[in-house]
Amino acid sequence: MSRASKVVFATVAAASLLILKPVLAHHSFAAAFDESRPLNLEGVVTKVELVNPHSWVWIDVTNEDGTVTNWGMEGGPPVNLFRNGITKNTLPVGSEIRVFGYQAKTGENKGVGVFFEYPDGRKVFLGGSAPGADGR
Amino acid sequence: MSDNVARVMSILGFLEWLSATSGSVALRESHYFFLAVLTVHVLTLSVFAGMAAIIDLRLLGLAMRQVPASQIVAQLVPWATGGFIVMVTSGSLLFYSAPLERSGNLFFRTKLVLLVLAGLNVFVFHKTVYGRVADWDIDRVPPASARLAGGVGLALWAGIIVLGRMMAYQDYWFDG
Repeated sequence: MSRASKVVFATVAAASLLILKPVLAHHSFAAAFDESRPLNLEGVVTKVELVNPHSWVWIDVTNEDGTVTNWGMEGGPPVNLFRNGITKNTLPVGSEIRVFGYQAKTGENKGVGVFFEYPDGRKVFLGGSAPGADGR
Repeated sequence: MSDNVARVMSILGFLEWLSATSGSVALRESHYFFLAVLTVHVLTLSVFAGMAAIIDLRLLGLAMRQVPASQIVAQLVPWATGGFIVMVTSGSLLFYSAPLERSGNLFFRTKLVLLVLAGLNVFVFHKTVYGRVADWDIDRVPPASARLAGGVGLALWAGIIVLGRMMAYQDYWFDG
């Protein structure tokens, strides 16, 4: 490789790193979830797994035709949810909850949550990888 | 029930039992401890892999070629061993936090196979060409079998680290 082509190569490599940076910021979100498939689900909590590295809350959602679908919603690690006030006591099985998020790329009944909304209108951010889940 | 089925059932039974122990539950539900263990695992991995990489590069004849190979090994192996012990301990805790998920993870299974191969590589190297290190200690480029051990070690550890990182993406590559 000539000196000139080395300079060109290094410049292109450095420039592409700069361009990639904002994309990489949401890598774990983009790897798994689809920003073009937003979810707005209302249902009853069936299982709460406040586990590392990501928490999961499972919700039975009654569809328009009366059938019930169990959805799994991913949140941040337990400590993030704890800071936002979600514990096994504040979100017991049987709670009615609305959740906003994005569906898994696989098309399964799974997604990543942005925030929960309690029936009284209180919103709690899920502190996970979804855009906006940190409440900022 | 065949012997094989019984054996798999008992492994699964053991992992289910392990995952229900209070330590495993506490670890996966912990606020900070799990994250601290994860951090320690990555930090000590970098200590171990960094030391191993320098040794492997010397064996390949690519780095620190003016220093006798046995000196590099003698000075770096204690650090590599220390890093290895804490890395394996923290890694075992990460396994313990979710035994069923980890053992079912295809990236993890492949990683274990490569770990065994990496161990074999070190064992064979020490039993064969390193036993004759006095013959090639100051050679800037060590003999072919030493270079092979260095190259294989570098490749295996690169693979092990990538597979470890990929474990988080199992569900998105295969049906979760």
